[in-house]
Amino acid sequence: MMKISLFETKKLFIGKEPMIFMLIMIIMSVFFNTRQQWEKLYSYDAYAALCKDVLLMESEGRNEFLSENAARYEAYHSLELGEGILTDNDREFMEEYNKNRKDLVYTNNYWFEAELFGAVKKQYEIIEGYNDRLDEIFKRAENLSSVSVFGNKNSFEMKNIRSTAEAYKNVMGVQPQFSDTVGVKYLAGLSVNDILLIVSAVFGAYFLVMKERISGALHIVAVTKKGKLPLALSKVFALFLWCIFCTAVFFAVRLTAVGAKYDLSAAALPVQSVEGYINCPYPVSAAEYIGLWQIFKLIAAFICSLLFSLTFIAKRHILSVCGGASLIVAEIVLFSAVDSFSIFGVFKYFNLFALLDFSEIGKTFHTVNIFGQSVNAFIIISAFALLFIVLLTIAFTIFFSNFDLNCQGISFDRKRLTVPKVSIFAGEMYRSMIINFGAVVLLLLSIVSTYNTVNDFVIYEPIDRYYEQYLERIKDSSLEQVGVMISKEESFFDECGKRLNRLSSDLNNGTITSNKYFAAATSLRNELVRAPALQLLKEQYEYICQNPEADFVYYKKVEKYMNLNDREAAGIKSVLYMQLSIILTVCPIFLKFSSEENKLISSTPKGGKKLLLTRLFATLLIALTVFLCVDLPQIVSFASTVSLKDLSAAIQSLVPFREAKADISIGNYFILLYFIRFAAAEISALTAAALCTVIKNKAASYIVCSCLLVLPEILYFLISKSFSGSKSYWLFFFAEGNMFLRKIML
Amino acid sequence: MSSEHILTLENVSKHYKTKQALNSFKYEFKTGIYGLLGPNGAGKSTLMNIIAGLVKADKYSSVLYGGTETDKLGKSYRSILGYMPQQQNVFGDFTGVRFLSYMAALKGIPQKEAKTQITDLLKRLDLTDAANRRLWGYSGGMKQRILLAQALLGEPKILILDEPTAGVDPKQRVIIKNLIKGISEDKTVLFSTHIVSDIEQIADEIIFLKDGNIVQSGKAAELLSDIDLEGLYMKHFGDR
Repeated sequence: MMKISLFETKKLFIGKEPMIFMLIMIIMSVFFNTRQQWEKLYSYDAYAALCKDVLLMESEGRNEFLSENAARYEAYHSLELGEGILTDNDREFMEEYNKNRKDLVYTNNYWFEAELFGAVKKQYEIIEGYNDRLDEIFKRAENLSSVSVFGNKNSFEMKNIRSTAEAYKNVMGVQPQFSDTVGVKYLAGLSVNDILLIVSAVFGAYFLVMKERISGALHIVAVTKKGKLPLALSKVFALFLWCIFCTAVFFAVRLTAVGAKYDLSAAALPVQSVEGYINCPYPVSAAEYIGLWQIFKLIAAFICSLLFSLTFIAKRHILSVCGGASLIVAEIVLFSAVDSFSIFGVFKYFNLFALLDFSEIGKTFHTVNIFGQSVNAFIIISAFALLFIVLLTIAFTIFFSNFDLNCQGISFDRKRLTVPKVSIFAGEMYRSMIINFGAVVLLLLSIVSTYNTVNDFVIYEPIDRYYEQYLERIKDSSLEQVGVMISKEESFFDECGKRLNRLSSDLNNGTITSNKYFAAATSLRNELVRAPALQLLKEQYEYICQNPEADFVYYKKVEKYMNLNDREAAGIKSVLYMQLSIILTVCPIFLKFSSEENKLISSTPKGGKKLLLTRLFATLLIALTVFLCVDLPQIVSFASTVSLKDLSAAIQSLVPFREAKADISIGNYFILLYFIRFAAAEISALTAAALCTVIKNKAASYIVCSCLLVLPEILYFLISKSFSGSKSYWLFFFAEGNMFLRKIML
Repeated sequence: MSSEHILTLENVSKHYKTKQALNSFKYEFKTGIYGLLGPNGAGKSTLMNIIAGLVKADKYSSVLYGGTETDKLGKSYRSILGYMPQQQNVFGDFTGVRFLSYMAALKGIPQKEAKTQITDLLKRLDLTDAANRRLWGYSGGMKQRILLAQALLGEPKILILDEPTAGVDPKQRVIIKNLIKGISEDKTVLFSTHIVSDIEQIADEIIFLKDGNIVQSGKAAELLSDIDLEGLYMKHFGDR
């Protein structure tokens, strides 16, 4: 049986299709993991630097340092905005702000600095208060046990309290430590990898079972001496090894991606040190916790592969597969919707997704009400894992050994015969859109593009809002009138500044009370906050005076669509989606056919030039569709956001384009942009078509197309700006459009 | 018989790197059924591929239809051709009916006519029930029949059938043979097979091929007057 197991394992690890599949999965994993978004206002570097500084301090002074600076920068921020100050401490900071302001250390503005200190302070306090937290749990258990509030000492609630206290006794000796735990937190969180893992597990089942069933290979082996039970067990073993491989690979990708950006040294600390895991009832290190979770994920993947193996071998396999998929959906619903304390609570943890999401579950102690007993959720999850592995393995081996050689599966034969449209174009589109799921790809692409467009928010700073208000004010004014308005505003701000200085000196002299000072100063600051926006307006005014073709344009509305101000990544992302979709929809039309298929086609009168032209036409149409799926949501958003007035202004109205030599309007720029992106889609599609025609191997065609069309975008995300400097790959810049236009115009 | 329906092969040779697949083959194919018999490697498939225009014969070879080189006829020659390959694994992801529609499109058959022909062929070849099933789910016999159906689309004048009855059960073999016999009145049908009885029952003329050469040919009635076909086969190709 070992020999058979070895053969089965080799099919998965040396076979062409599994390797190509894994390559695609790894590329996707790399792409999604390197996109890890840091969603805080302050950068990770700032956070890491502050953590490092806190760790270098004496432990006694840390809390004070963090509290003081959090309050300080919050006050500075309020003062900067001209908001009122309330507490005595704030007044102390106000004086400091006016006379002896502390510099920013970690970020570039007071708001971000305040947020940073606040977050780190909170993290530190939670760690420091760990033992108190545990004492509270034990005390509460003791107090509630002695009070007959629940009426029945054997009620589920009482048992739950007792079991919770018992569970946390295991971690009494644990000493969590403050550290930079961001990297470990990301590593311990759910990611796209988990979905890819399940997909890979199902693929393994498909490859070892369904594919052999379709090809008739199972028919051949079933008559051999070891073709039933030993073969079934060998397949189960091979699937288990495949799941281990997939789990390890995806984890390695995530570890590399996260480790490249964040510090992972906190993995050696108790898991309770990691932000969000303070209530974890397990006395393990973060690394051990993550390791345990990987084991659970492996088990989840294995169960999935066994489940689908069973559906693939069933007599009516189409129905079975649908049943299997429905079971997965039902599990998701049960896991998300069920309350663990309800009578159905057991289904929340007796669940595949409890295994996958163990990292979340393990963050705190969970119990389930089973016939009044308080059962640890960990036990439920483990029982589920063991039971399902055993049951599914037994079921699979039984079904496999009794596989009905005559079963053809469910028949969808209809009574009335409908002949589809007799057209070469229909045949090619059928191959691309239906057989190779091109329609699904386009649908997903539309959903993703729409989602990205809808959720693409530009951060509006206060300066942007005030600038918009000024534009509204000068909407119907002539240039002369604008100049007058600017002068008046400047004078007004000068006056405000002078009054503020007078107020400060009056306060220092004791001429006015602090209350009067605060009230007056706040009011003045509320006016002065518009000054940066006026400066911006003035710069634009002066430029327009020199260049009459320019105009006042609200740049914030257009910069999103031009991918200005560090928004290049959004543009590259849309190129990636476009190129991937083109490969998946165009390549199937041109991939190498079998020699018999080629013979059939070549023997027909339209199997030569006419077929080629039809395929090319289908390719161009598909590329147009891909372009629309990617860019139409953005075009619609653009049309509803940007005004006609802004569109008719010269491109030089925008600061980044002041040096542009081209004599076009902003509207014409966008027409050109979308035309370029459309052309890029067509060129990419034709390139993919040509490559598939020339390359005589299906797998090689996909690989070469991916390298040429998709790899540059992935490298951009991996290597970032250092790669974007490469001029050698023109299609990359051309397809993004904005980068190409900026290059030729500036 | 007018010359416009005659397929003439003159001095047709085909040489591969290490083998002479066909050697100065010369024959005139009129309407009727021609059975090609020979062991593996005799050159049957090569001959059929050359006639179908799928393989280029060596220099100085000549394949004429109605007195004109088939190369020069191009599309118009292919429009009267029906070809059935030997291997079955073609277009596995297509359903039976969609596969026939696709082939009808490639043959330039208009929609209405194609619909009638497809429906009729599916019925005659007992494939109506399986028409909406994908080809990879067909049995061996069903695949043969669907391939024969596509070859018959467009009512071709020349039918090239490479082992049409391979893998087919006896009942279906009878159906196929009767079908071929029924349509051969105004067509030229070439079919190769290893099943001697199939040729014996329907072929008008028989050609024995060995190592790219004709070892014997002639009208079936004359060849089989003294000896049955199996005896004749063993005479030419049996072990000594």
